[in-house]
Amino acid sequence: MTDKNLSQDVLKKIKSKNLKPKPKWGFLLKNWVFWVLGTLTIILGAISLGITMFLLTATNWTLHNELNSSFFSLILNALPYFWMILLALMTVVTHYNVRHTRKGYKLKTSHLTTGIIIISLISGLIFFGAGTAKEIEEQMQNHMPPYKQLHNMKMKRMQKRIEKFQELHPDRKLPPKFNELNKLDFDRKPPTRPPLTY
Amino acid sequence: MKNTNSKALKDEELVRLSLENSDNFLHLMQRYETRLLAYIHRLINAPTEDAEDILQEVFIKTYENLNDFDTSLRFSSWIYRITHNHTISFYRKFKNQPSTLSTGESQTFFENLRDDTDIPNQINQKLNSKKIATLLQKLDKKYHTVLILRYLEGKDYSEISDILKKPMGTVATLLNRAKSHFKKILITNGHDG
Repeated sequence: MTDKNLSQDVLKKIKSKNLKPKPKWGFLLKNWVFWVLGTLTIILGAISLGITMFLLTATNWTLHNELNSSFFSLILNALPYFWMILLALMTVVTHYNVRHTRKGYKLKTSHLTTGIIIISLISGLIFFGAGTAKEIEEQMQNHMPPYKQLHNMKMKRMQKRIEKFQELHPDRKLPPKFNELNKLDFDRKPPTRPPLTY
Repeated sequence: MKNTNSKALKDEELVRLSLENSDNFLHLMQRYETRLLAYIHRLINAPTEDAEDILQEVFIKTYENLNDFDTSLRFSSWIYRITHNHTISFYRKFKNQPSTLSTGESQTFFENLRDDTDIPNQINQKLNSKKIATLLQKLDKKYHTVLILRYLEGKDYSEISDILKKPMGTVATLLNRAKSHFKKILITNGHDG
């Protein structure tokens, strides 16, 4: 096939099959979808970060410190993994979405990741500072049964650990605020022993 | 539009005219046909008929997606990107052997690469075109592609970035690694003559 024939054959095919360029709006929409998804995931990531901050500040670290013998077990038991995993997931999805916008490929991976982290951090701080993170967390506990179940499971585990700790160390006093745990909503029988007071 | 008139027009203007009338797309195809056919051959060792089929599909795809062309890019980068992606898909489907460069291409490739790399002199003298082509085949596909784009297609970093849809920094790293791998292969295999 000569050069001339190939191009002409393609043109003939275009005409015979009545092929037309796809409309511009379709391409614009695709680009916008990635931007909108990127924005949504970064907001979700920021909310996750805000809630992580809220839960970390609300955690009774003194109590955790007493219950955990090593730093590793302290970290393992006290961190809000659900939100941290969601934050990591949203960072990856945002990265993917921005990368797939029209000019997203031009951004350096390190720059893009740093940008996402900085935006999430600032927005997360705003959500945390404004009390939105706390509000969302409470709303989720009230209106999302699976989340409440997850939270209760964590609290039950914590309660068991406290009970075990007290059995093993009857002479050791747990730090104040422990009684706050009694306010939690358990769907099991309350402990038979009288609540501790400090 | 007459052929003489079309030659004076930029690719971007031809894109605009092709959107108005498909006949004008012929000038764009004719402008890129030889280059893209050669590029397909350089990327995969497809028989001529297959390469022409790939190119036909590339042109149709390009025509259908003309409205997606971003005028801030060079048209050549865009059509090379479509060709590259389509050819690689074809390669994955049919697993052709890596391409073999012709004698002239190997020579041009090596001369361009040598100007940009510190390859020991004793290796330069012992290499012939066939050997260069064989050694190039030993490279990983991603290194092979980036070397072809840089030293045979003569694309700059920004164009390679647009064709491969990778950040410029990644292109620079890929190219450095590709050169370094090729140099290693040259040193370990190049002395056999």
